[in-house]
Amino acid sequence: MRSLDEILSYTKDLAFDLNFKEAKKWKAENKGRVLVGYLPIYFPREIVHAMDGLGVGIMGAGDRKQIIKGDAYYQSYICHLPRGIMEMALDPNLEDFDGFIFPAICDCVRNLSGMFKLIKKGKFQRYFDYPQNFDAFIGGEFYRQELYKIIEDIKKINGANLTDQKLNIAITLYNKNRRMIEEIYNIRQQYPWRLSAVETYHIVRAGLSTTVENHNHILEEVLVHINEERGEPMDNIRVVISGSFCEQPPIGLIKSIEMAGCYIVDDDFILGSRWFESDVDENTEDPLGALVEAFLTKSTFASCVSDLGNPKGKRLVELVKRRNADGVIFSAASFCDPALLDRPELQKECEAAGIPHINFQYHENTGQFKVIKEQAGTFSDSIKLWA
Amino acid sequence: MYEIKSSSLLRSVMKDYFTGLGLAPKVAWCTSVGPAELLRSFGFEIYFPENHGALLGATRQAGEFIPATINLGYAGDICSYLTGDIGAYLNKKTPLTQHYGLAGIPKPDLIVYNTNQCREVQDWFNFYAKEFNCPIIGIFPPRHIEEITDAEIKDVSAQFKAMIPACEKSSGQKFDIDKFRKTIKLSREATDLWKKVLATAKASPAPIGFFDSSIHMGPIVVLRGTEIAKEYYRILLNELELNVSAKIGIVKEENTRIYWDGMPIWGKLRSLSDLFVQNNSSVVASTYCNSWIFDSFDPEDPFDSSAKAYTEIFINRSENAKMKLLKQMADDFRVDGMIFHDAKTCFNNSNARFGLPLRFYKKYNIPVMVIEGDLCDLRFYSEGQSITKIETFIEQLESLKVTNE
Repeated sequence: MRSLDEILSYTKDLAFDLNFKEAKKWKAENKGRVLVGYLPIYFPREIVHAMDGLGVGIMGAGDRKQIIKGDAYYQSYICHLPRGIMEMALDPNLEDFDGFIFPAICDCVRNLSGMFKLIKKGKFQRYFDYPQNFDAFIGGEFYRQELYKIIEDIKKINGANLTDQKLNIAITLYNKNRRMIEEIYNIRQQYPWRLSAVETYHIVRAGLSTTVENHNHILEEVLVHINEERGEPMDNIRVVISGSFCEQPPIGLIKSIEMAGCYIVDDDFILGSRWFESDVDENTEDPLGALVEAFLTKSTFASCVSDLGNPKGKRLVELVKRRNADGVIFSAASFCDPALLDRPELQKECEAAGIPHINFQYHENTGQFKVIKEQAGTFSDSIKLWA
Repeated sequence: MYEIKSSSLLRSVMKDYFTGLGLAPKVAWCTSVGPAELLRSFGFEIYFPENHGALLGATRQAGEFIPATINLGYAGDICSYLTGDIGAYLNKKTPLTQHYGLAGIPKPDLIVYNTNQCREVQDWFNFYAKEFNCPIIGIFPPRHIEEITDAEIKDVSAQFKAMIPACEKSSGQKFDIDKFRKTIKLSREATDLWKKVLATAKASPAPIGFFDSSIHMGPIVVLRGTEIAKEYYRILLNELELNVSAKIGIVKEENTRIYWDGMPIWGKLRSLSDLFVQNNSSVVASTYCNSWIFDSFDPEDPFDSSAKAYTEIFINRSENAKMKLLKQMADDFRVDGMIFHDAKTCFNNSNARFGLPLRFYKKYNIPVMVIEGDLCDLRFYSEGQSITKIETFIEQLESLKVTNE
C-alpha cells in the first residue's frame, strides 16, 4: 500500500492535469474505448462506463492556464469557467475526447454547448437536461429519453451495446465510490485535522480524471490511512461551504479559509461525485430505470435542481446540523446566477435556524486571498468568542 | 410628428386590465410566456410580474427599489426585473397605484412559472409563493432546442396536464376542455393579428418600430386568450395598414432600417426612439416583440400545441437555430444592420455574449453593433457613450448603402 504522502502527491497531479493524460492513456490501451467529457454538476458516468467509456469531469482551467483565445469568444458579464474551457478546447488539452456533455445548470453552460457545436469539438456535443419535475411518469420519462440520446451518441462512435449486466456492474462500482467519499467526509467531520480540505479536494477531484476502479483503490487506501490518527487538532470552527458547485474555487482560496481558522466539514466543490444521498439500486432488471429513479428520489440539493416540495434552505440547515458545523460560508463564483439566486433563500433559512454565515465571490483564477482570509478569520473569531 | 392613434385605446385597455385585477375574485400569477390560456380557462384573471418589472423600468422606479432587494442578499448581477420587483414589494410601492389606482399588486391564489425563458423566474416566483403562502407550480421545458421533438412536446404537455388539479383547487372550477380550446383559439387569433401588426414594418417607411411595439405589445402579453386583445390588435392593424397605404411612418425619410436583439432598455424607450428618428433610422423589428408570436397554437390540440408554442420560443433555442431565425428576420424586414443589446442582468435575453454578433456578421455580411445596458437598472447604461455608438453605427450603415449603390 502506498503512503498517504504518495497518494496525495499522485492525486494532486491527477486532479489538475488539464491534459487528462491518464484518461487518454486508458483510452489508447484498447480500441473501442471512448472518452466523454462532462461539465459540472452531475452526470451519470455509469452509462459511459457500461459502454466501454470513461466519463471525465471537466471542471475548468482554474488558475492554471492563461486565457487568450477563450476571452475572445465572450463579452464581459459572464463567469470565468467557459473562458478556460474554450481555451482548453481550442488548445490540444481536449484532443482524443470523443464527445462532450453539458449538463443543464445555467445559460452560460447552455451556450457553451453551442460553442462546442460551432467549433465541432468532439464527435458529439450534447446539452443534457435534467428533469425538474419529479413525477416518474413526467420528469422520469423525460430523463430516460435524455439518457437514451447519450447512449445513442456513444453507440455511434464505438458500436457498444448497453446491457443490463454491464450497467449493473457500473452502478455497483460508482455506489462504492460514493460510499467511500462519504466515509472520508464522515471521518473528517469527526477528525478534520486528519485530512485537510485541500487534500480532500485533490483526492475527490482526481476521481474525475481516472477510472472508477482506480479511484476506488485510491479511496480504499486513503480510508485506511485516515482511520489512524494524523495531524494535530486546532482551535478551529467548523464550516460548510455552499455555492462552489460549478466554477471551482482556486486551491488558494480553500487553503485560506482553513488557515483562517475554519475546518471545512462539508462543501459542494465536486458535488457530482457525491450526488446521491443513498445507493442507486444494484442488480435490477432495469438499471437505467434505477438511475432515473435515483435522480428523482435520491439526489442531493443543488442549484441546478428545482426544490419545490423539498426546499434547499432546509436541507442546507439539516446538513449543517448533521455535520455539527458552526456556520456556513457562501462562496459563489462571480456572475454565477444559480448560486447567487439561491443564496438569499439559503441565508434566510440559516438565519431562522440561528446559523451564522458570511459570503463572498471569487473567480477560478482569483489570485488575492487576503481579504477572504481576513473575512473568514473574523468569522471564525466571532464564533469562537461570542457564539 | 408621427403618432399612433390607437395608443389612447391602448391606455384604456391596459387601465381596464389592471383595474380588473384589483376586483378579480381569483388571480393567478404567471410568467409572460407561461401557460396563460390554461389558467384563463379556469376563470383566473392573470397578473404578470414581468409586466410589473417592465413598468418599474419604464417609469424609472426600479433604481429606487433595487437596493432593498440587494439588502436582502440578492446579488446586483441578477435579473433587474426580479430585484426591482421584489424591492418594490419590500417598499410596499407599485406604479399601479399612481397609474391605475390599485392599492398594491394583486394577491395571488396560484402562482405558475415556466422556465422556458430563464431560471430566474423560478427564484422570483418562489419568493412570492413563500411571502403569500400561495401554491406554486413550475413548468420546466427542455432548453437549448435545435428543432423541437415530439418527446419534448409530450414532456411539457404532460406538465401542463399535471397542473389541472392545483388549478381546480385554487379556482374552484372544474377543468373544461372546451374553455381551454376557446382561450387557445382567442390567443391564436390575437397572436396572428400581433404578427400582422409587426409585419407592417416590412413597409418603408415603417409605420411602427421596436420602441412603439414594446408598448403596444401590452395586450398580447397580459390579455392573451381574451376578445379584448384580439379586438385591440384588429384596430391597431387597421390603423397601421392605412398608414402603410398613405406611406406614413415613424420617419419621413427612412435612410436605414435596423433590427434590435435583446431586451428593451425600459427607462430609455423615449430617448432612444427620438435618437433613431433624429437620424432618419427606423428600428423595424426585434427579437423581443416577436417573442409573443405563437404560430403553433391549435384549438383542436390545446395541450400539445401550447406546449410546442411555449417551448419553441426564440430564447429557448440553440445558437444555430437563433442564427437562422435572426437571418430570416433580417431578410423579411430588409434590415441594414443589427443592434445587440447586452443587458447586464439578463443573461438569457442577451445574445451578444458568446460571439453571435460577430458570427452573424461574418456569415451574412450584415453589420452588427453591441450596446451595453440593462432592462431596468440604468446604472449599467451609459447614455452618452451609447448615443455616440448608435449615431456612428447609423452613419456607417448610411455610408455602406451609398457605397453599395
